[in-house]
Amino acid sequence: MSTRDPIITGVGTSSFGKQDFSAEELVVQAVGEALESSGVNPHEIDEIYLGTVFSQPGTAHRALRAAGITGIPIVTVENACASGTLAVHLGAESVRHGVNTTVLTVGVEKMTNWIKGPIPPDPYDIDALSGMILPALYAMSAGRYAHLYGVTPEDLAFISVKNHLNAIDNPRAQYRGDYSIEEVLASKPIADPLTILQCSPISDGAGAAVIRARELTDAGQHRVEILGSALESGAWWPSPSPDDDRVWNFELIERTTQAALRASGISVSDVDVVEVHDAFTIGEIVTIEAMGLAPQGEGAAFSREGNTSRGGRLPVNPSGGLLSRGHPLGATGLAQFAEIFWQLTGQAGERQTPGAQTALLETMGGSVHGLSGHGCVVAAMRTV
Amino acid sequence: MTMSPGINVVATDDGFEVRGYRCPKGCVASASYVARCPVCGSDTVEAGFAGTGTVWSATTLRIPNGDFPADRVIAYVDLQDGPRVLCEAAELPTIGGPARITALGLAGTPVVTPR
Repeated sequence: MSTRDPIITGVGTSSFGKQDFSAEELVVQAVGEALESSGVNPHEIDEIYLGTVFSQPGTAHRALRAAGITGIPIVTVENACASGTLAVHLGAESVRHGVNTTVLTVGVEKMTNWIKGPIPPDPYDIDALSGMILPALYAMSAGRYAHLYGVTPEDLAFISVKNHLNAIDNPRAQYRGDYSIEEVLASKPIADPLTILQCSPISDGAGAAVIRARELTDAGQHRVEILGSALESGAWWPSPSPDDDRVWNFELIERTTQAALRASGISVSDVDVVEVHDAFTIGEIVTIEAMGLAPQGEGAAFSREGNTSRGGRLPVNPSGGLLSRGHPLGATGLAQFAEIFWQLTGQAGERQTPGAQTALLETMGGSVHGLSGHGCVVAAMRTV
Repeated sequence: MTMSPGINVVATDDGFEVRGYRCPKGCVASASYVARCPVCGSDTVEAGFAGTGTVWSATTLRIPNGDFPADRVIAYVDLQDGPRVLCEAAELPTIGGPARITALGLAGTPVVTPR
């Protein structure tokens, strides 16, 4: 079967945070910007993939109707925090394999009307029934990492400092600030050792991206090729092999990254900039190690040496990440794709990574007792 | 055994044990319902796991969560020859240290103390 190169030709997002806009209004903002920046007419769209988690049935259709888009097949997907990223993966694969030539991918979440406080796992999950919430799960990963590798509370807080500082130049971010490590550690305790400035906030928002087959794009427009992407789901955790017992999520992120790298034909040494799922500070440290961007057990030191800061060897989350931009679950993946698109097309303003040509993006979703995670999506992209 | 909605811990002459499922070939053990082993595909069998193990990690949750109060200590404990289970404790246990189930806490969650 012949394949086509899927090219992102335009992106758009709403602002992120607690806001009065409805899901329809958020989608209208994101889709409008994406269509305008790509130069695509809604009638050219073959299919729509939309990621959302907490929405009611029909939200996708209601929101897209508000955006003036009807009569086009809509696929609604849920993969916890990686729902929007999954929508892009599926849309890109549909173009790659010749099913479609132009797709619209969307993510949306209107959380603040429904969710108060930390997000619980599936309420029927055995750990949720014993009172588990996601900050506690990440906190236990942090505790395990401190036990194994000596990661300190200051190491964790540094990730928050870095990402909130990055967000100062992101006008769409929910929270921005020039915090000190001491201020991060002194903020409200949530689950030891994590404080509230180390936890991504619940948020409202939407994002969108237009993906087209290369032959429908032209050299005069901003273009980013999705070289390869992968979806993987959680494996048995802890590993049945006692010698392979790693922290929650590590195995899944590692496996997904390897699959995306195989699909894209690049290696991590080719990468100029990265957006990852930093729902909690420990998440960014574990993720950059699992992706092979830093040696296992050295992600914290790699970060504190400045490698992942703006101006460093490999900037991670120049947008401010989930910690600062906010984490409207279904929209997060599209917000990450939007940032990478802007980075790879020189449109990131003060956040711009100089000369960025190649990027990786990772979103990790959800928790289920006894699995290494719920689902993970990783994508590799390059400027056309 | 009827599938339990939460963790199933019962008192025994020796203390407590966690009821769950095990692969008959020894691949995996689980405190939650699983019908077939994901490694070898065998049908699982019901099993009881001794209420002793090793603390994998722990945290103190500083915020309330529904009926669960703030400042609750929880831990993942790897039961000896059994699954990793969520427990609670009166004090933060040592990661890598021993633990024994000595009581039942909120929602039937096993309470562990250092052995």
